[in-house]
Amino acid sequence: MLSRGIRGSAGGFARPAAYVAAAALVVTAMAVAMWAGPLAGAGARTQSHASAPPRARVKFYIVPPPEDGSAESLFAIAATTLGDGGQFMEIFNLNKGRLQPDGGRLTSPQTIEPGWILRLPADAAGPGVHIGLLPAVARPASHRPSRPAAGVAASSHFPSLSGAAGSATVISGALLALLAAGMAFGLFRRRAIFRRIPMHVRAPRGPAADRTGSSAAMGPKMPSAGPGWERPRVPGPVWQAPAGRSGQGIPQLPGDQGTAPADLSWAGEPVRLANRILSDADQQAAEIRQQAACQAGDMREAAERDAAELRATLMEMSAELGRMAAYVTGILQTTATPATARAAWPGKSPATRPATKSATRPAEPVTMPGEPPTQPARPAAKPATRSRQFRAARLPVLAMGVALLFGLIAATTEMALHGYDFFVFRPPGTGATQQGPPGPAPSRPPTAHRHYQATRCAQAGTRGAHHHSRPDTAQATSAERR
Amino acid sequence: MATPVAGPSGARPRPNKAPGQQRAARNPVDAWMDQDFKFAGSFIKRKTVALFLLGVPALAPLFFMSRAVIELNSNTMNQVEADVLGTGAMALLILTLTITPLVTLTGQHWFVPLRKWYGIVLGCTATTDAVLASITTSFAGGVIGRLTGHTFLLAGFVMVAILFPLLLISSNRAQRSLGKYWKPLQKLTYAVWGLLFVHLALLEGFGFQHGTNGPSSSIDHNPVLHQRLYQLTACSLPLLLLRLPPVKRWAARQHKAGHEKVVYLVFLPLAALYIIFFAYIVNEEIFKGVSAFRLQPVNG
Repeated sequence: MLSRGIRGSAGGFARPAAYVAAAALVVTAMAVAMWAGPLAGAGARTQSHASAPPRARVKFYIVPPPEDGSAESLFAIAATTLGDGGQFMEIFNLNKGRLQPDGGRLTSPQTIEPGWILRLPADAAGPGVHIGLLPAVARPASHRPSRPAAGVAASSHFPSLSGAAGSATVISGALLALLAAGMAFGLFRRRAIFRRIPMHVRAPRGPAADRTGSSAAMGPKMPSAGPGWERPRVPGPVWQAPAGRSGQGIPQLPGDQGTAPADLSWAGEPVRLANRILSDADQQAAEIRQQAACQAGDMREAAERDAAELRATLMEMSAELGRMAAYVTGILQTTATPATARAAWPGKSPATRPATKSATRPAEPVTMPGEPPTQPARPAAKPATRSRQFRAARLPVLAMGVALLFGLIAATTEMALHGYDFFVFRPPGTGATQQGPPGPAPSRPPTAHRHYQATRCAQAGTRGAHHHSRPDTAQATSAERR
Repeated sequence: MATPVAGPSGARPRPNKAPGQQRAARNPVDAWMDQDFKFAGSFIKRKTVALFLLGVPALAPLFFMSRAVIELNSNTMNQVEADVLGTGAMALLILTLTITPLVTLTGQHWFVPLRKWYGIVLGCTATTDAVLASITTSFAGGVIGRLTGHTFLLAGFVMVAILFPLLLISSNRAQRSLGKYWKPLQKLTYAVWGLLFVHLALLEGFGFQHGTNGPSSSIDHNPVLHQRLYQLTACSLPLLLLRLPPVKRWAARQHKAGHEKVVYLVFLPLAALYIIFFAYIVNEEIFKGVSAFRLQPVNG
């Protein structure tokens, strides 16, 4: 799963995942080394130097500090525990070369130090004989012989510490490492799922995450995950967290009020998570729709209110104009009346009346609600648009008229110059299109009239023929007719 | 190859147009025309393609005479300029006047933009015909004599005098400026329609002297079909009939009742008459136009 997530992200979070895993391993190793390393090392060294297995229950004797100036000796210990001082060599052989709590080692039967732990033969008995696991002795930081008291104190205060206790510590360290790895794995999965969610679907992380813009909140590969980074603003209504939504990293989804926060982790069940996200999006959309509807309703009400006010104002103005028009009409109709005898201004005070306007303006049609419709005064002139269109229409008509006039004048001139017969009943061939080879038209003197004069009598009976007809065709037609 | 792309509703939505501006398809054919073709990643409506294919042939008269004008070939312009551009203008006028009866007959509207296009090309063709005739033909009296030296010339000049201002006010901007006066002005096209009868009657008379197709020696014994006056009369009959308000109402009722076939069957003879005579107009236009484009004019 983790490898798939790393591959699936195409390197997006492989490096951070490696960082986190390495950091977890280092922390775990340091914790294990600091906590259980010395005991485990001592146990291991004891195992290497002692022949007896460290886990067996044995009899041992802790050398007490000197009393009354006389120090203990192996002879005295053998006499006390074994009943015969001559058997001190057995004790020496059992403890020869073994590390002692103060760092020293038993190398000579004549030299023992207080606090040393001496293993005794199985038949030992008597005061000072302990039975149990041989205490593990930690290696001192340095082989300074000035720490026997500390080692003796440790041994005296933790007499039950042995090789089994060191193994338990190692197991605890391993469990701690596994726990750290599991946490890292869970973090990877959560971020992998978080990355698959589109940005606009992700729930906001609260004000703290937005302010800091930390990479831990938005993922390690956010484009500008640094100080001063701000979440890109999406156009549209501003998202507001619902009342039941907390500012924690995990959004509080609908229907999750009773569940524990641990169940809301995004590390499991992507489908369920997607469903929750969809439901959350639906809820947000519904809220936005509701807000928009409320806003639209408010705007509509405001617009209707404004329109009503404007309508009332316009109606009032129209009524005022109507009264003013009536007043002006009355003045115009009673021009002979002295100024002092004129009717008073109806309605409002004269101060609100325009001074110069509407002296010649016709009355506008005023239709007050609840009042009988009044006959609007017809404007004296036509609307300006009609005049403009009429002026525009006069141009082509004028052009047509000019052309027709020109044609009539020209036709009249032709008829006056050449006679009615020439104008209406031109004989075929007269003025016909000249036949010739391709190329520029040769200059031809205006001899058509002379040609007409010469051929008029000869072809008098071929009226109505076409000027385009060739002379031979026209002559043939004439011959057919004849 | 174009791939038709049809949505569930047929037409591709036009988000930039207000609902009032977008005319709903009144006919299944209109809806079919509103579907899109996909040409190399771009969407083009079938209607656009169809209108383009139907509008391009309107430029044929100007195209036929373009070579003679560019090369200043006076022989071609003198002999067949009036036939090519005049006949082309007549065909374009008939096509322009055909759109409204076609809407009445079929109940479809997708080809209505062709009316404006045909009218514009008609104005250009008629104006070009007048200009070329005034400077190339050998009539007596100079430019004025070539334009108004005869009754049929005067009728043609009056037609151009009407069509040219209509051409100038055919733009959308002029339409907005003129407002409600635009349509009555454009209806002066009917005056041009009447003047064309006068023009052809004065030009060719009521005989059969132009009952040929090409040179006068190749008489095909169909003089009526070759006479331009009769061609215009035959093509104008169904156009005039389908413009009568009672006929329009009857056709609309039949379409509303789903009896389109009845309308088609009733107008089938008139449509056949129209097609036959119009085919002769197109035949002559192509015959003389190709000869003009080859600079080998055939006058007849």
